[in-house]
Amino acid sequence: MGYCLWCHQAFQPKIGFRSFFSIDIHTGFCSICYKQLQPIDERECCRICGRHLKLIDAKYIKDDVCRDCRLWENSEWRGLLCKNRSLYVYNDFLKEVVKAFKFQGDVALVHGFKTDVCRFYKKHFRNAVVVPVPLSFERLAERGFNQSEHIAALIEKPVCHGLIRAIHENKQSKKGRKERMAHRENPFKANQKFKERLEGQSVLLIDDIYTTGATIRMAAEALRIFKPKEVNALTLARGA
Amino acid sequence: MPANCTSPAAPPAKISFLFNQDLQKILYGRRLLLDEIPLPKDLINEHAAHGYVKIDRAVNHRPLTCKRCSNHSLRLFYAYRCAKCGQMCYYCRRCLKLGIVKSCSSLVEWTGPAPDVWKPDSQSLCEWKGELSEAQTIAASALLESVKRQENFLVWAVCGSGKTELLFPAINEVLSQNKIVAIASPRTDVVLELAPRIRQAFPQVPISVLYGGSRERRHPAPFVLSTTHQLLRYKNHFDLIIIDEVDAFPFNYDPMLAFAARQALKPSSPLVCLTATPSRELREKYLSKSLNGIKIPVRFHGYPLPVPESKWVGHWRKQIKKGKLSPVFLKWLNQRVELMHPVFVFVPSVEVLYMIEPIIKQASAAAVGGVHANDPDRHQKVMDFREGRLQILVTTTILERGVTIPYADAAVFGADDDIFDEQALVQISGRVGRDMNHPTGSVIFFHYGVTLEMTRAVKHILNMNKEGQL
Repeated sequence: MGYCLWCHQAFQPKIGFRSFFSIDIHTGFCSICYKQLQPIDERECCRICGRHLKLIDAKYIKDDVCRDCRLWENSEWRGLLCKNRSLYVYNDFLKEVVKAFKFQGDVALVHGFKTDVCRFYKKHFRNAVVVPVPLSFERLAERGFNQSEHIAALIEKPVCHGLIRAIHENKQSKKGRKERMAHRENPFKANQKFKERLEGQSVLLIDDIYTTGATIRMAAEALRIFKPKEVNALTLARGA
Repeated sequence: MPANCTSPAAPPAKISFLFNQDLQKILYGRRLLLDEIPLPKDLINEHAAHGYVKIDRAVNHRPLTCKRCSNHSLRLFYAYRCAKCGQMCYYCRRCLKLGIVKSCSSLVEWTGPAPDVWKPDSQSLCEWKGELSEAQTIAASALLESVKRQENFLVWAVCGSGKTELLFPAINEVLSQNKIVAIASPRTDVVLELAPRIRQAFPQVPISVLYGGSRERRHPAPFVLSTTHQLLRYKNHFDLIIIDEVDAFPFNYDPMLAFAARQALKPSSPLVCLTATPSRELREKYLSKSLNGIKIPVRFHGYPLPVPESKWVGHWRKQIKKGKLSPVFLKWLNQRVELMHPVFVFVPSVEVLYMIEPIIKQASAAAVGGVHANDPDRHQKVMDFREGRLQILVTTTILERGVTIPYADAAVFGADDDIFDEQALVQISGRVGRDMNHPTGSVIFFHYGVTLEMTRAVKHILNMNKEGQL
């Protein structure tokens, strides 16, 4: 018997060998809460940013690529990000969960996403080097943890801290789209210590939310000096 | 010694030390996280060094216990490497909504002298002009006596018996002695409904209203209206706490909230519980006389409670999936609409609510609305219903208590569902016939097979009515 991480009700998690032998008491979401998450169908998402194409107007879609991504690919940022895959649509329920996880500090909630994160990793990004998007020193001190790091840890692979966030900025979530897209100084720097591990490899960036794609692309640009084979991203939610 | 003073714990080390009055005002009677106090940390540490403030680790490690909410269940803790302290840091998941309590956070209490909270200028602060019914008067004086003797008390009163008004003499007594009172409820809706009534009855008394996101916070205030969760921020502060709707979710199942109430009270100060449907435990305590109390079986207007009827509607789940509703239910609904009565339709879950709302909209000419706990427009819709802009309100069990609407009728659609236990069904029946001018009304359980809980609820109401006639 387990307890739902979100609603704290007792429920019966799926029994398999893994759950049978594990002593983990943080078992995930119950089926009622899990159903409120809206997974993004891999066959119906934008080839680049992983956005659910059913949710946007058909006139913005061309060759399975959304308008935002076409804009990105026609700019100087072309080809930096190979693809992003998000697990879920950023709906009201997930907003509540992310709020509790990130802003109230309920780190345990991340275990509710474990099965899906692992599944996506194995399916799309097998053997990629996992690099969580870092926080600035100030933000880390304020929050006490880095949410991307906790998502990355779910994959149970060695994590590579190949990026440093050198510049402290205001929260992305407090900015509008224009501000986010406006050309700004890249807050990320590559961490030279991990040059050997990243050179020529395919890299997987981990973050919580993909909204405009600006953060992920800046991180990818900072990694360019390592000449990675490709840079992909895995995010929990694709914001609208 | 004046009645409002708790004796200061340790005499200050240096007499010459001048304490900060802002800090005293913020902290007096409470127990807050260090991060919650909007003053510099050095100042607080300095006060601690002089014995004016007590700083404690917020989490006990052996055994693992949250000192704010007393949680010691292992599954409600989680640990990770904290970037603030660099250690593996536990945090409490149970009281997280009030701000995170971690191994590296501290709880701060005031141990210095008490500030002047407020001085009442007369003995009668209550300006409520109404009159208590006979039953209310008896209950009110029993409560007053019990509060004077500092004993816990249970008011077991049927829905619509005027519980709030009978508290006034006891509250007046405590306030006029310059003491501090709180009325707490597990539900925000109840706090919101109480606030204007209390403000009207005690216009001279500064009142603080506390719930997640409230604006009317002031501290220290002699009269606090609060959700039971917010009581966790107090320690050793109140001379009387009254818990309204003590059997409501989540108080009835969450031991944290009972702990919060006990902790916020001064030692040996009385706790008063109000309810129409006491839990079995509370009922047994009352019947075995280990808890003082009084039962009020009649409503303030003297008419009996409406007795629910049961009507079989067949397999309602299957019907609503097909977009249909039983003709029995629709006939009743249309009858009520023609009488121009507002109608509550209680449904077992949000899913049923989403399915049934459009069907009712189609079948009825009246204005229909639906509310559930996470509805952002919830308060607006209840207001619309109250003011007649909506005639039919489809709702989950959130509105089962605390809402008074004259002339209303109620239907429980799917009364055989597990969520409708005896207490919920009695509360729902209590929504009807609350007005002096219209003391009757119709309550119907639409079901697919009578449950034990339904029978118990009907029996409960019949018993109360019988007692009320004696």
